[in-house]
Amino acid sequence: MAESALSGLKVVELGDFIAAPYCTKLMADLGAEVIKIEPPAGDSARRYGPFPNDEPHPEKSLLFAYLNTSKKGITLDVKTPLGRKALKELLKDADVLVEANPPRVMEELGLDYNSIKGINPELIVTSITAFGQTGPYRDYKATELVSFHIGGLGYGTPGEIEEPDTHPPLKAAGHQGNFQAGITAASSTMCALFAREFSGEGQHIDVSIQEPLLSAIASDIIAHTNRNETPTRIAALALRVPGRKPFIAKDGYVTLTMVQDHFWESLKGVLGHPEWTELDIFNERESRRDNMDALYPLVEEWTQQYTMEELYQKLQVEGHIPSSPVHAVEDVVNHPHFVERGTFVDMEHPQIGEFKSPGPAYRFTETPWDASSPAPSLGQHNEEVLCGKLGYSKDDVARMRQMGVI
Amino acid sequence: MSRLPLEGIRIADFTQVVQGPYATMQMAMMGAEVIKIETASRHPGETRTQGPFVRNNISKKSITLDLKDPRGVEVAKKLVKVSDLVVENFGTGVIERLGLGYEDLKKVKPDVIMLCSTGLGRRGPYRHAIGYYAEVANFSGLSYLTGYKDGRPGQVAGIWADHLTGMLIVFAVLAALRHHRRTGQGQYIEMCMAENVIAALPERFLDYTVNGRKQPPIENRDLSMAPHGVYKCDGFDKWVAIAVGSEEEWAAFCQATGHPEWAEDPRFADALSRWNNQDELDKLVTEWTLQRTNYEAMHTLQAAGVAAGPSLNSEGLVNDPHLIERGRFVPMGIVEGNPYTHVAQPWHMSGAPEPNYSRAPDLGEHNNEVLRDLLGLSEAEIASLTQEGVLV
Repeated sequence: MAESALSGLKVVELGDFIAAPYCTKLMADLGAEVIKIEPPAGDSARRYGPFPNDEPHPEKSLLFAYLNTSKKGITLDVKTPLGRKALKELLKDADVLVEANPPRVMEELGLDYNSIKGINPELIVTSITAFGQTGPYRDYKATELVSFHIGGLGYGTPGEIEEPDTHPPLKAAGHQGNFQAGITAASSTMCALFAREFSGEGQHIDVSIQEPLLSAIASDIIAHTNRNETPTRIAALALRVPGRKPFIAKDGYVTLTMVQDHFWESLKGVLGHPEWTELDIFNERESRRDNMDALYPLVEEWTQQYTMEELYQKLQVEGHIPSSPVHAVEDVVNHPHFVERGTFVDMEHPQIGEFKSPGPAYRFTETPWDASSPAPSLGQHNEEVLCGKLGYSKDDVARMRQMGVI
Repeated sequence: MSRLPLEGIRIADFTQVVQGPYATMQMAMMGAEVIKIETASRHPGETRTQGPFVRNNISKKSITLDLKDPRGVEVAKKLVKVSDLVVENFGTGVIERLGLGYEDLKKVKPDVIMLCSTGLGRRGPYRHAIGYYAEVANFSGLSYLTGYKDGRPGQVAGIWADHLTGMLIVFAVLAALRHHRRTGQGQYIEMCMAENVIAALPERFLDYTVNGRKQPPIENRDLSMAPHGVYKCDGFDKWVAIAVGSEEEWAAFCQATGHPEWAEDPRFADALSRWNNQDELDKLVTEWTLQRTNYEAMHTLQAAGVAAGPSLNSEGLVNDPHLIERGRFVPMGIVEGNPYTHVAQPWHMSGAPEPNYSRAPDLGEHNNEVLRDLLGLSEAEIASLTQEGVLV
């Protein structure tokens, strides 16, 4: 069998829900051997769903099935001494531990980095937590909603608004902060693997879910620290920025860019050179920005006459103007572009059956992404890992099950 | 301890705008030698401002090459030959027209690792579409799902799709480099921003592909938790996000807010009732939050074990004690007449020195260093390339 990009990389996951599982999914789908440890009650994504036909079932969560492809799964209660012992035995031979537990809990269990590095000095421990390993909020809790807002991305979402009192800052759809934390953890872990080539030593990586979000709003932070400007979401107070508000189309919405001169010139042609496009107030880049309130409805009168697809043809294909239809989920799944690209892949799962799932964001020519091995059922690989790798007997495993350790 | 993780790795960086530069900057901060290939004529007047350029290009080297000139292309190929990674994010077809496509580069370096990233990817009927983060977020469904129920689709703040993809580029190229170290094999990686956005929204896509359910925007709400929202606080446009998950948290929430009677109210007695009566519950929560600042609300609720935090704007972020203590804001001297503060690398490593926070390069600042010292061009060759306008 061909080498995968991460063949031979041994990863143990002691995470939950999204961020840590997504980090190790990225690794597992590129060939790393990931052993996922769940508490006997299972990962919380098993209870989150969505579920086929809305029938909750711990082996049928589509979110769990998506996030845990290509992994082996064992159950282990690390709150028991026996569970911790088995975990430590697993770590002896591992390259990476990805964990997502509150720092205080890891310390109480004697599983914090300083306590476990002696087991295996080459081990890289990547911790993903709400607020990181240090700082005054270290022990605070967050969900995606809280992270997204305290990370600074909620305030400017979904854009400038007219009525601030009734329209709160918004979270982006889904769990963007948790997914980005998972990607960040995977990227930083790769950095630590390269560092180990020289040093021969592992280390501890601290990923706070708040901080990749903060990093994405650097433009606003810099405006404040460097120019003493505080970007606001309130339209009436906002600095003049080019409108990115979508335009109404016959069957939905589109966006288009018309601030830059070459795009404006092109747009005039696409519109068929109506007289108003020659008005002085729209002549210059700056004046178009300043008169966006006047320009916007004039352009919208035109966009309203066409469908999103017709506008794509006119604006992108004929006009070479940055523009896009605003797709609903069903538009995306069925779009010819994504169909031809194979963006959604067919998955096969023993309990769920066949289903269509988002695939990878990248295509490697020599070491293909492969998620064909389905997410493990709860404790599916207990015997394989505990007996096969750690040398417990089948009787031991049966007893551990009785004791509630696995 | 004295060595940064990616020291010794050289990257030929053909990227621009946000996603590509953000990715290569992460690696530059980790010690990689990132050589950015620029052309002065491409973005006249737009380069080097503090915002878009500097924040995504610190710690890199800059050389200027006219890639429409075959001699510029030759120099670029020499650089590729001595680099470990090549990253580009031109529009579909551009790098091939320049004579620097994967097939061209393989001829000069058979084991080249090259990553190409665009909004909609390099394959598929819409591969020539042009756009920025907004177009990608629109095309991939994120904008539709991120807006007010009574309004138009929104935009996620922060050029989000670019940052999400920039971070994944780091993982992808380092995975390919690990494979190269083990096998000597290079490869081509095609990255698609829109697919990255889709991959990070699985719960909404899977509910459609499996259950056929159309997906509406749900604002700040959750599929099961309640209360779960952003509530107005004392002060001008100040808000706090609160998320109550378990029954235990709900009981703690009622105690902490001084409203034990809410826990007894049949409308809120169990998770399902709370979810179904969210509008009424949110009104009561707002009455409580309006009496306090966003920080008072956070600390009171967190002390009781309930997830809460302010919705911070830029001023709030730079004054937040937690972010300050964690060293998130790195002062980096004067840039273009103003003090420049860099937002720190979004992770911390116990076994590595501080990331490389060096100022962003001036345009073509490293022409001599790279062409002469690294690529071995003679002074005469460099002078002639300069004279003939290839190094612009």
